[in-house]
Amino acid sequence: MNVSPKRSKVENGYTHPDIANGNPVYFDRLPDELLEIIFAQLPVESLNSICNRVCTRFNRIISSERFVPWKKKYHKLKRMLINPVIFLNEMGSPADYLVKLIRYMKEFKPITAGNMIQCLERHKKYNWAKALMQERVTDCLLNEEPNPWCCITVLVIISQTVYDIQEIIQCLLVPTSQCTSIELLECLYCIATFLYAFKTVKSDEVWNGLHYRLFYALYLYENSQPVRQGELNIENSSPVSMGEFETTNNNEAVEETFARNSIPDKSKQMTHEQTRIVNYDVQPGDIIKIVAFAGTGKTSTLVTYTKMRPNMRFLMVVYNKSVSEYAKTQFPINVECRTGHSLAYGVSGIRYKNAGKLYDLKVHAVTQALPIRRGYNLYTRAKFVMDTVKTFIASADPCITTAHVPNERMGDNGQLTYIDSDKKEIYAKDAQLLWTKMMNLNDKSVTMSHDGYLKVYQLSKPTLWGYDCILIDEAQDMSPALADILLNQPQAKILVGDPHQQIYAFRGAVNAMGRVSATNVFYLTQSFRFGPEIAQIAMCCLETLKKEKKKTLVGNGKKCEVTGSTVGQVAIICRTNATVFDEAVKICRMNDDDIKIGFVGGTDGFGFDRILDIYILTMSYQQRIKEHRVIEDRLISKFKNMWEFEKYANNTLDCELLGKIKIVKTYSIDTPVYINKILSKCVTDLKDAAKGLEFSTVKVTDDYGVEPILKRYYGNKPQIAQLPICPGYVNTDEGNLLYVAVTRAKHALLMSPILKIILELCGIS
Amino acid sequence: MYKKIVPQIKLETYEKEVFEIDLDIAKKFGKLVPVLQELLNDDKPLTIKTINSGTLKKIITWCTYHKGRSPPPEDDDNRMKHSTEEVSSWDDKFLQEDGQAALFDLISAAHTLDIDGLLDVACKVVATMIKGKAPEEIRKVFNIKNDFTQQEEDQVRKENDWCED
Repeated sequence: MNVSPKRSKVENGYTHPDIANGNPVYFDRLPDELLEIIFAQLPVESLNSICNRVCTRFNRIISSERFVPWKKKYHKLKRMLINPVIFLNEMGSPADYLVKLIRYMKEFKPITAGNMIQCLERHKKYNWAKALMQERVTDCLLNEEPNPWCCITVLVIISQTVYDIQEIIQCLLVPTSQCTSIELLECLYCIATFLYAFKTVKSDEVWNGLHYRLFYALYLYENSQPVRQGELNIENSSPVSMGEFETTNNNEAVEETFARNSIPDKSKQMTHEQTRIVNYDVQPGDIIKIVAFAGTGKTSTLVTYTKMRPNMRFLMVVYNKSVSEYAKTQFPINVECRTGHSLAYGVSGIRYKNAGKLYDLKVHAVTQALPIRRGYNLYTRAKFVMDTVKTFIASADPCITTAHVPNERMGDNGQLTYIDSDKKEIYAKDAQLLWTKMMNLNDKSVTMSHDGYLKVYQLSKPTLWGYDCILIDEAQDMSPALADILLNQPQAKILVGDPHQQIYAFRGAVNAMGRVSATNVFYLTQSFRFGPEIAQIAMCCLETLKKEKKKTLVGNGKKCEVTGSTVGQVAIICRTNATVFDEAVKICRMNDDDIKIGFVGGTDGFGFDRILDIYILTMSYQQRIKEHRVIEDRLISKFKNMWEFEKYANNTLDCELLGKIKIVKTYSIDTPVYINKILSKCVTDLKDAAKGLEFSTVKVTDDYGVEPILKRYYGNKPQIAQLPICPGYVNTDEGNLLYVAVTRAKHALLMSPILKIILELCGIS
Repeated sequence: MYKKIVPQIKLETYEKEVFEIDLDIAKKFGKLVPVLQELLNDDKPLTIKTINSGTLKKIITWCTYHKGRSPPPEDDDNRMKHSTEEVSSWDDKFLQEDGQAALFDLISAAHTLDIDGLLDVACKVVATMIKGKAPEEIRKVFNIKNDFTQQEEDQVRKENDWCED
């Protein structure tokens, strides 16, 4: 908006000094109480780190104790700067909390607005609230009329959705209402503070859900305003490389109806969190972290950031090639989109390509390259040596040591055992030998992997010229080797990612986000992908599995289905390939020709050939001849029988092979039949789904290994105690994977039994 | 045929311009409510020196627009739509179309006349103009002078560390 001094104005006979020189400061004309109303609309982060730095008057008003005390208390409590105990003193035992809270609110503030109850009467649950008050808290009524603050509290308590709470705000902020926004917001923040305090005592009670809904509604209120700022596209988020596939069914009619009823595209607006980021000017040497929850518009934020700075040259490093190709279509010309590998390819990768040895390393090849050592199974040793080299390649370390050797192996008795130090020495020595052969351009016996030439590049300590700022996407999944290259550059760096979405730890990612100390940290917590119902489930996953307390994930205002219905295409996201196979078989058994199946990542990526090879391994020699079956995979063909092969896979903890063995064991002689059936049902065109980012409906299967995490934190809860004792240790990655799966859903989520238990742990039924 | 007589009151602005306002509109002016009955019978207009004609015109337009408006429909699909857009697009355009000076005049006037609904939406628009901007940009947009000493600025920063992450 332009400052237009065209209307010279005189008020109360007083000429404003600034008017004379044509530079009016309109804020000076408003009394403090009006500035309070303006400031009360802002999120606490804007108030306490931005607005208060504008001038001394702003700071005095904002820091004054009379200004939004409850909003401040709420946020301080959430950051554990206030002891929740002070809110619990008068609240008795948990059984009394809610009734005591309703009574407490009676004294919240003298009632100045006369028509609050008239306004609240329009709330569709008002009569229920009033009846409840007449029955339980008669002292909160005066002449049959409920105390408005108590009534708001009751309406919050009986709310079942975020919309119920939004309706309270809406009822009280109609133009005819005498209740001011500042009063109402304070009242809601006061209730939120108590609900949060209750949550710290008992997290599996109804107030967890109440608090979430209330927070969500307040968040949407504070962020409801469109902020005009360049163009924004719907974000593109991390690709999911899990075993997953999806089915296409003829549900397009549903999709259409949904589109008509949904809210007009809001993607062109920015949240206050996004706006803060795009308005921050990086300085050379800065390291900025943007912690972006799933679907929160990180790509669009970066697009806007770079568009607003056309004179700066950006290097955008993304996780894989398909994201890089997509990013190229989104970002302006002052941004160069590259993968870490493509940076290294031109310098080191090309040499291996020209030498004809740029292929993935195979166990079989490694067995040929290693010296013979007595007392070691060659294949098992080759696998350990290879894993050692892989760990080294992912690391930022200058040379191979025993620290890169795996710590454990599966013993013949099926128990995890530590690898002793003598063996570690041997593996490390062999790994050094293997790595030397890999690097040697003239040695064609072993190949150089893509991660390998990236490592060669990192060891050369390269400098990246020609950029003013480096943007690092999916920083949580960056390997230490790549992190070492990028973080040692002199330019400003912006790291974007979500520690909770780290799903490549098995590839050696270490969450560079967590390790780097940043000059500034920004958060993106509002997802554009899904509405409150899915957002709440995702938040429950973060709370129970990741103990996320500080930040609350919220979504958009669109209603989602979480009670069993599906909308549009269904994506079944499984943790393991064995479950993917099971689910595909289930669909085949339905005998419905209209249902088609598609695999994200394609059928080739799923490895049906290898499954068949393993199946052939179970056959006798005679059978193989009879059925004309030959094992094509070189590694599998080296094993005499299934028993030996399984022992190898077990010893080396090769999850991929173990998953495939499980499939073959489950389906035994039906394996080839089902493989054929599945392939005949397959479509290759998955439309948007092929990107693997988001799906209309997501079904989460029950094979995520989160039970150990739940047992650790909630072992004494009956619903957790009765879970079967599962092998394996606590692996927080499993929690990440479940969270990532849940947050792929746009319109509907079909929950697994474990997700329902997680909701119960959060007091949501 | 006879004309329906709408009760009106008279208000005089800073520019000494007299406006005749329908009673049901004037009822929105919280400050006036206690004296409305007197004003109705009075031929002499009530003078409100602090409000100029342009602002009063806008206030009348706003009140007229919102007078006949029933509360938003409450079916499930529409409820969210209305509540997430606190300031409807009409309000949004209406409040911003005349620039900052008019907006601030409107806030002052809404405060003087005690029109809570208008005050709230107008304040929300100013809040939107602040949202997401860096301190320096806020100063630029509103022509505010940075009157902090370096020492004070550091102090403010330190005191609000808790909110930073």
